[in-house]
Amino acid sequence: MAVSGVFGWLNIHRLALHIELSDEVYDGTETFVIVTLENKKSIMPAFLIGVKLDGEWLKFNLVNRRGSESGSLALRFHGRGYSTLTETVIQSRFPINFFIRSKFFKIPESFVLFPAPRSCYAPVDPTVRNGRGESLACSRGFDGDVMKINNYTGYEPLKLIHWRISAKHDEFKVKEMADSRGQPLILDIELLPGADLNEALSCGVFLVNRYIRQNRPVGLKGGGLLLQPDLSKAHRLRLLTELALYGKHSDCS
Amino acid sequence: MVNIQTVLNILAYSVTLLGVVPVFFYIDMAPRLIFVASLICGCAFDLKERYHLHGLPPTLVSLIFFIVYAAQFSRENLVVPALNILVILLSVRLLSEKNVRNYLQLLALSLFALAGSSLLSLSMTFLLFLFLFLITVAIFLVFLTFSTFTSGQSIPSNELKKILSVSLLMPAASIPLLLLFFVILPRTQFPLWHFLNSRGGTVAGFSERVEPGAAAEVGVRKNVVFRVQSIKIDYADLYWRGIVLNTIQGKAWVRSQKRLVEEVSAGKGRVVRQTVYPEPSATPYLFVLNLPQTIYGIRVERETDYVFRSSALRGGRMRYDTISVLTDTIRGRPDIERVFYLETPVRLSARVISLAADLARRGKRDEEKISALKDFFLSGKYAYSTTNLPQSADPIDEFLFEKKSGHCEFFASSFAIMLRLIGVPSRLVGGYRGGEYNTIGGYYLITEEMAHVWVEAYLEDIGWLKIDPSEFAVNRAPPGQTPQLGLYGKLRLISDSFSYYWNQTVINYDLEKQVQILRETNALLQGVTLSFKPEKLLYALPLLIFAALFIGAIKWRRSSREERLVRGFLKKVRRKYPVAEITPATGLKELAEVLDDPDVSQFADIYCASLYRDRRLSAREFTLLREVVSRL
Repeated sequence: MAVSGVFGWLNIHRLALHIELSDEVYDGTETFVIVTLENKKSIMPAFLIGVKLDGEWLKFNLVNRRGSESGSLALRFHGRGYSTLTETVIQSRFPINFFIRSKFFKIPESFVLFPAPRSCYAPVDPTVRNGRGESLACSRGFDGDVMKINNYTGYEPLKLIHWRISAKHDEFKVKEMADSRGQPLILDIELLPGADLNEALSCGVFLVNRYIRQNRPVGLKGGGLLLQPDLSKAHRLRLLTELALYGKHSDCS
Repeated sequence: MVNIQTVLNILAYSVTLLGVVPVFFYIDMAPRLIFVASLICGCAFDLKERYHLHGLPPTLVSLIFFIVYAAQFSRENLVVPALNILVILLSVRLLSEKNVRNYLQLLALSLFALAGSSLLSLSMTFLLFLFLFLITVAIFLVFLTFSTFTSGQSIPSNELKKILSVSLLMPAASIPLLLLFFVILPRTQFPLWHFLNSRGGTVAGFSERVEPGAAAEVGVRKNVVFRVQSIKIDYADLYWRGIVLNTIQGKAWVRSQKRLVEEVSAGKGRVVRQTVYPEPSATPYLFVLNLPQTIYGIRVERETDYVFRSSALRGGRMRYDTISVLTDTIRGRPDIERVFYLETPVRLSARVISLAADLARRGKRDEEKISALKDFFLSGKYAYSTTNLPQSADPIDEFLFEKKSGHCEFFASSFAIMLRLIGVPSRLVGGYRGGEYNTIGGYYLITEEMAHVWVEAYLEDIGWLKIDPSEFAVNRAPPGQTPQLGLYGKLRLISDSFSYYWNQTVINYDLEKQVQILRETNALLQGVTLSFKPEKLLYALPLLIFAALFIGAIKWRRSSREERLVRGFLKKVRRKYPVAEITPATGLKELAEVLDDPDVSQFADIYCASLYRDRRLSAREFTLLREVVSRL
């Protein structure tokens, strides 16, 4: 019994836990968490380790000495703003199932929990006269619709040459394309639709994701903050973060 | 990949074989055959993963064999019937599906069988089997844990090797502990239970030299000196003889190196046999109840003044058996070395010499002189004390005429010197006086504080006569009285009983004793089944019925009111519609549709209405449903 106790203690001794969360964690939406268990022992493998994270269990049969094993857990978090994982427990019944040895871990890193996206319409944009229908591009681009056919000036890329029409003329004709990017849009948080702030922010998350997916640069305004429209992933995450933390900045300062 | 269930099965069969093989040829033919058959069938069942024997039949078989073998229990035949039962139970378990509970049962039964084998044979092969058993069990338990954790999945073979190596490490790591607990610790000289024994001063105690006046006071030391397994004896007779001090050297009494040859014999008295368990000490002298006759069980050197020495005693813990005669006299021939026994200290005060001359004049015969000396002590109002002791250059003079208080050494040495001065040969006897009788263990506990010195005076007609001058002290407890013990004292006695049994059974380790304990335990167990007669089963029948009813009632109480109601309802429905197929999966609504019985429909409606709303039945509904059930 004494020996099994020592082995049980050794088994969960010198173990490290690393948690990796996805870039985007939305309120109430299932997200995968990658759990890596590292065995820092140089002699003994770690056996039968259960990792409990937010009430969910992940099992590792064996982690080699000086090795690590990973697994993933589907978790749901609730709320918005800064969040941390609750206390994490490592447990093992090794070696003979008479006793359970546990070790508690505190994971200090926090992450930002975005509001859950809620389908909604964009607020009326005063810069656009027509709320519905085609929106005309204001600049030339390379990947939009064909706007008109022009003469080749020698500067256009060859791929824009319209070979079929050029064949009927003496000179090369090129397609003039519209810029496929939508009209830049700045969302005003205070104008977002919703019964309360949380609903409005959820709507904002939905719109940011939708417009950027549609290749329309989105910016954000509200609470003394102005973010110019952009399309990059980093920009999108920044917008989502601002939406998540809206009205909560003082909490985490 | 390796199937963990297969590994577990192999280990389980190995454990079973390790438990049963050592007893296989001692048990009856029927259990032997059943075991072999079960082993083969169990393997086959496990391979096919189909178990044909479960439920009542195997339980009945076990019960029948249990009754048959229980009837064979007797004082002489306890182990074999028990082993027969164990093997039958093991066989039944082998045939059943292997789950965690069954695996653990197999393990426990095998362990009991293996333990039982040690009662039948003291062969060294038991150790081999035990060793293998422990290793297999360790591996088995680890794999069982794996199986539970992984829900019986297969594991890669490299993982299997790693698990195996760690499982083997466990018994290997246990070996030093096994050595500590079973080999080294039982043989230590360190007393384990002495936490209740207080640690007193370090002065008082048995000494091979008596020198009154050497210290101003004497501390009390409660260390255990020896224990004596004995019947209870009168306090007046509790003198434990150790050493005889026959020569005066300066102010001290010592034992002369001179070999005295005297022909002596014990006076008449009651013969007492005892076993002494001395604690390890530096003295070679053996303590025996006065007057010792024989000591056996140890190599001893006996001297004519009934002093026993043994060099073996210094080696460590042991025991010796003694025979004593409860007498105050040692009969001897009148040719003792009178001159030797009449030597007095060179320096004696004038007061002492004049007192001796005065006493000598009071009688012609030695008995009269002794009587006068006793009177002097009794009338002198001497007090027994261990503090403020005489400590001058002549402590005897100071004790006799000034302080008039001292401990046994003052009383005894002054009395002996006075005897010698009045012409009576005398000597001091050192040992212990009294003893705490431990009724739990049936032994006397003698502690260092009980060290005592008394006197033996030689009388022509009688021989050596024991006189305890300390008894003349005014504050001495009346003879025959042992001090009353308080709660602490009683607790100490109880704790000492543990120490005593520990020493007796573990430290004074011998197989004979162990086997005797085992037999006594057996006899104790047999007390229940010794007079077993089949007709006694009749008396047990009401008890069994009561037990069955009790278990039934508990089960009944455990199920909810609603469950009981539905059970009763279904029972009635089955009786009313014997052809209807009612399985546990059949819903009440479904049943109502199939049977088209208004009562059944009503029951289903009311019951389901409460069930689907997730609430308990109201009292009205419950009464209504009961009426429906009774109508059915």
